[in-house]
Amino acid sequence: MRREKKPLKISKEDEFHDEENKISIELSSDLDSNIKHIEMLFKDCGDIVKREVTIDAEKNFRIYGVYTDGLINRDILENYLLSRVFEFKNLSGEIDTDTYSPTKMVMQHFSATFDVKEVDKMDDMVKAVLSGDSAVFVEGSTKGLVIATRSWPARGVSEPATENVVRGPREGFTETIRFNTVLVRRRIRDTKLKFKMISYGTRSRTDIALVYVEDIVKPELVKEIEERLDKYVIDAVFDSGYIEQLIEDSWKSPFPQTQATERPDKFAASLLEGKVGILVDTSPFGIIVPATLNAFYQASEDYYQRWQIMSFTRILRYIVSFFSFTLPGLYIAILNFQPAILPTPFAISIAASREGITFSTVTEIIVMEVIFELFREAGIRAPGAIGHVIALVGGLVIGQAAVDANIISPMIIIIIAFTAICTFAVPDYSLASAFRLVRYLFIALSAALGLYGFLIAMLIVLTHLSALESFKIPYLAPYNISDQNGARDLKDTILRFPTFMQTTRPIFARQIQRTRLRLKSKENATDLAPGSNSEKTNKVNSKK
Amino acid sequence: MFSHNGKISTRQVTILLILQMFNTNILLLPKLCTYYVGRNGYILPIVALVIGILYVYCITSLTMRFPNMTLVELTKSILPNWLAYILLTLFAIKVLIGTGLELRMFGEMISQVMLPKTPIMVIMSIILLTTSYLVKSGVEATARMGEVLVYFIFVPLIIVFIIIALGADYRELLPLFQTNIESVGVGALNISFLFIPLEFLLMMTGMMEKPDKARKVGIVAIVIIAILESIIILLTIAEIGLGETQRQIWPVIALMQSIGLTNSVVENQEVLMMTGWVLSIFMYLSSGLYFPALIGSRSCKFKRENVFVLPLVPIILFIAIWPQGLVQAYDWYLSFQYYFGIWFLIPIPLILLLIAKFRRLGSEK
Amino acid sequence: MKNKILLGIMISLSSLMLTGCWDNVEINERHVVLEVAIDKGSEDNLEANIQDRDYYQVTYMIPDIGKLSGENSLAENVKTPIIAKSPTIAKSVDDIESKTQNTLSFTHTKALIFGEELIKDKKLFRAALDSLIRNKQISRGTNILAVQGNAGDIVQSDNYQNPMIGLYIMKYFNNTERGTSHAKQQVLGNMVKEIQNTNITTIPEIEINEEGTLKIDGAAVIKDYELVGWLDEDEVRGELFIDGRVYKVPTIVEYEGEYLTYDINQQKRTISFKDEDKLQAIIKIIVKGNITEYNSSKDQYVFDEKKIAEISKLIEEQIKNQMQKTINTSKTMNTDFLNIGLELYRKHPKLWEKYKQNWDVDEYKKLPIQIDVEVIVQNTGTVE
Repeated sequence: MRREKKPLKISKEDEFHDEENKISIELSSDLDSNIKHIEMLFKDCGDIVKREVTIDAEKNFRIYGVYTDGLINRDILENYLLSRVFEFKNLSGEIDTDTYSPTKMVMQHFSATFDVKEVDKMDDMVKAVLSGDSAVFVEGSTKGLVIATRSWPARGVSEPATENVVRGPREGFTETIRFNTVLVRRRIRDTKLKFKMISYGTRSRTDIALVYVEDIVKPELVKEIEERLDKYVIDAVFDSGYIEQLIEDSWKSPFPQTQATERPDKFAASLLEGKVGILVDTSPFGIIVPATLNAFYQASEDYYQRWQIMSFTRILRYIVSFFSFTLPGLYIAILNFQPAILPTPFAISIAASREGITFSTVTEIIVMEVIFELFREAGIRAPGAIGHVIALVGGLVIGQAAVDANIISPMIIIIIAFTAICTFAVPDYSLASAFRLVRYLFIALSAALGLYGFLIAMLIVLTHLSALESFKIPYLAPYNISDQNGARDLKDTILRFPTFMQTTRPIFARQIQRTRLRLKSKENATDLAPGSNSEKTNKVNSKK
Repeated sequence: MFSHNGKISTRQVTILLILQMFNTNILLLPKLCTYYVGRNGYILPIVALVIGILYVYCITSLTMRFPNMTLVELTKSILPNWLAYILLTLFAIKVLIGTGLELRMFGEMISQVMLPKTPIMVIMSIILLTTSYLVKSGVEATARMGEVLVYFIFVPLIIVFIIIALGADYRELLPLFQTNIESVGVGALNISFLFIPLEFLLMMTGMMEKPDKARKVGIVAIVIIAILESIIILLTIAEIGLGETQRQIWPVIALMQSIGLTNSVVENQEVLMMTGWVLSIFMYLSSGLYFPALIGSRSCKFKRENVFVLPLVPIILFIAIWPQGLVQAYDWYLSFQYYFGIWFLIPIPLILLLIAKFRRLGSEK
Repeated sequence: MKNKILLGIMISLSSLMLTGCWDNVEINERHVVLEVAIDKGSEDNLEANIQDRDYYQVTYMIPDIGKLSGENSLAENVKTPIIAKSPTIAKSVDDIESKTQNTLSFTHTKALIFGEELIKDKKLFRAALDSLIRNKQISRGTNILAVQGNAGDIVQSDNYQNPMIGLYIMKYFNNTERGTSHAKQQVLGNMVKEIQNTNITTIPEIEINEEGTLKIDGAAVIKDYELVGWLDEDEVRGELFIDGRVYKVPTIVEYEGEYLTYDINQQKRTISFKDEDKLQAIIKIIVKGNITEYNSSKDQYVFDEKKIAEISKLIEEQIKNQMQKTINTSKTMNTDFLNIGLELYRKHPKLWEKYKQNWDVDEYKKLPIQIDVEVIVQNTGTVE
């Protein structure tokens, strides 16, 4: 990048915050000073509840609690902390301030929850308050206490909206990062599964988790991601889409270089391939890096169903996605430049269907493409009830009427509709969107130079994809690195080989961690294929 | 892992070599081969293989002596600097002229078969610009591109070949072996210009991950290409006959035109062949653009390797538009290969090798 | 900076192209010529400038696409003949351009029909063939037909089955169910190949009767770009037998007073040569087929090995006769359209050297040709 990094400067006169909007005030051992600061920081924040409680007036032992109303579970705070404090007060028990530090003291005596920790920065205290934890300042200590009381208004785990399956789990990620980590943890009960938490965004303070399996992932990959995240200071992150676009390799490319998924099973499976997952709070989409073109064609269902049918589906997906960006261009190229390719009866019927139409094929295609994109956008944004009206207007008016009025030839409708269906059949939404854009390159070059232009467009796209990398993995891997990893990665590409043959992890994993399936012992079974053993024993038995 | 160290794998080099050799020559070859040995033309590439192996041997003997060195570093260490620069310039010019003429033949071809009214300048410049996009992406991208393109090139071709092979009249090939050995020898020598792109090995060996495999790579590539050529020649003669093979300017195109499968999805298979062929020429052109640019930047010790790419584009275009018409371009193309083809295949590598041996440079194995 | 330059070049180039679109022609703005009939022109104005002479009379049949697909259209008829008189074929295309609303396109030309006068004229026919093979648009797989008389009349005639003769011919030859016993298909590429190999080729004949029914049978024999003579249907069948390309041919013999039809399904043939004291060619064919028609009764039945053997003999004779007739015709014409010479060259190139010189003069005429036929009756239908 040639541009100079400009720090995100918050208002200069703000004495409490540093350049990254972190609170620069230190925790003081004087509770009053802390209270003063808190009062100042949370000035005019109506959702913040603050209270000072004196435990032992003689020893001037006071605590000061702060929390955000609505974000916390009041039960925990009130039943397990406050009530005990008052119990203690009423009993007026002894306080042994000599052996314990004041904060330890509170932790030992009053807090009946597991999740309580000491914190030594004001910034952490404030952040905890804003995240839904409760902060407790204790007199005479430079440390504060954070009690986990988070209880956000949250959507429960529900079926993902995008990557639906017939066979397979129906859980999807939600907006709450904690639920998401749970969904992943439930699938990989391994201490090596790490959730590295990062707080990102100077104002949003969004929690980001780098998820990886420590001994499978290549360490330089995690480091690379951290470095890329560390490059920027951003004010807020509202969705994983922000992160995605900040860490990608090439901003010029329309192709997605990270993979977004709503499915925890897919997410977990990717982790075991040696990829790194990124979960962002408030976003139901987890990101998986590195992403390759092949990965976008691997739906999670592919592994749950039989390999024959899923291999067939994979082939279908590849063909269909090829058509999704080439078909309109191909149509123009063949019809207007190389009609010799068409079988004679077909050529005649197409020519007849174009009789009386004023516009050129190119115009027709472009107009219909734009109209279709319009419908699509309108269909997504319009409120549910109106959606039906749009479908009706689109199908009936634009389709039938335009043909009847000799504005559009019927073949164009077929082409555009088929292309649209092809686009929807591409398993990944962002990949399909990239194809939608690339389609116009094909239309333009085909309109100018026919099939030759079409080939040029093809070459441009292929060149781009060949040059593209996602976190140092070639985007077209494993197709164009077939002699890496002994071509074993090709087992999970256009064809999905049977599960027992998928013995190795792909190239993303560490070299020593490549095995993922093996025989338990060579004595009982020699052949990897399931079922073959019993056959052998049967034969032996029948001989007897 | 995959870092930008400018290294390409053994398989990638093999594929690149195959694609570089699968150029315009393919379309002319049946004509040239039948000129020498009549209807037994298909044996010439196989015989030429012997000469090809000699080329590979000469080139790799030199390059494998200096692993991780391209021609640039290699000549500089063997020869005095001024002589090295002259040699490098000659090599670059040779490659550029070859590329320019190839581009012209390509343009003429596309112009005849696909776009008769489009100015040939547009046809040529658009593919050259696309090429420069690839070249600017670096040698690793080029190598990966080759590995992807190989599917796009050979799958349609194999389909077409199967269609032709099923319908061809093999009696055309009879009688077998009715030529004298002498014309086979002369023919094979002349046909061996097919392997001219082997000279790119002078540059590519230095970029290989395993330079010691260079010889194997070269041999595998020419064996595959020779077999492929042989099949094409055989099918051409069988399908369109000896007379037409000798009369047509592009016999292979005539071959493609002769198979019309009426009532199938694609009535005219010519285009399938053209697809594979355009993509293959693309790879040849990209090498022809890349290596002179690389020689330039390495000689000047520039860190960025693609500085010379764009300035070379107009030069190649200029060479390409120099011939007046197809007849002249065709003539120049063949005589250029005839007179200048062999220099960097045998004499120069051999001389360099001898000097290196004499001065005890490089690694003895 | 570099990127910007490249981008600039790309943008200017692409905008140039988008306004260019040199070869972009809408499909309904092409006149798809489905058949071309080429006749010899008049010889009236041989003194005129070479540009204006009328060596050829070329009929281009332009279909109305709308009418052809059963839709409404402004055109009067489904097909419009446009006739050009010109000194060369290429010039005639240029002439036509001034008489049509759209550009002519030969990408889907299905039939080239030559008139009798043209194939009698060596120089013109040769030039016409050269023009057709040079044309990139005309496929090498285009069907070639010859007409006894004027080719232009055939294409202009009203064929009730399909008004477009080109489409009719395409469908006729694409039909693999049909038996091949009437005509031998000839396509442009193959014809040129045959002429280059042996200087001899045959072109199937097309004719139309008074009722307007098209018929494709017989053939014109061309030697050295010149018509030698016409073959009738039977002679063509003999040629097909010798070519080994017979399929679904009914052969009728009389057996025990009833007519018996034998349908050939499969045929194999080999041509071998004996060169003891005199060269001799042996054509051996093996045919397999079924008995499809025979009036059988209690004592007259064919489901019997001995009877089958007898019947086979009869059929063999019948086939032999048919082949012999063709060989006789061929020898009368002194034209080796059966490619015996080519076969000799392919199998015994050294022997060929000996006979090459005089093959066309008298060697072929003198060559004794022995015919061996083996008939295999595979089944007799569902009746005994």
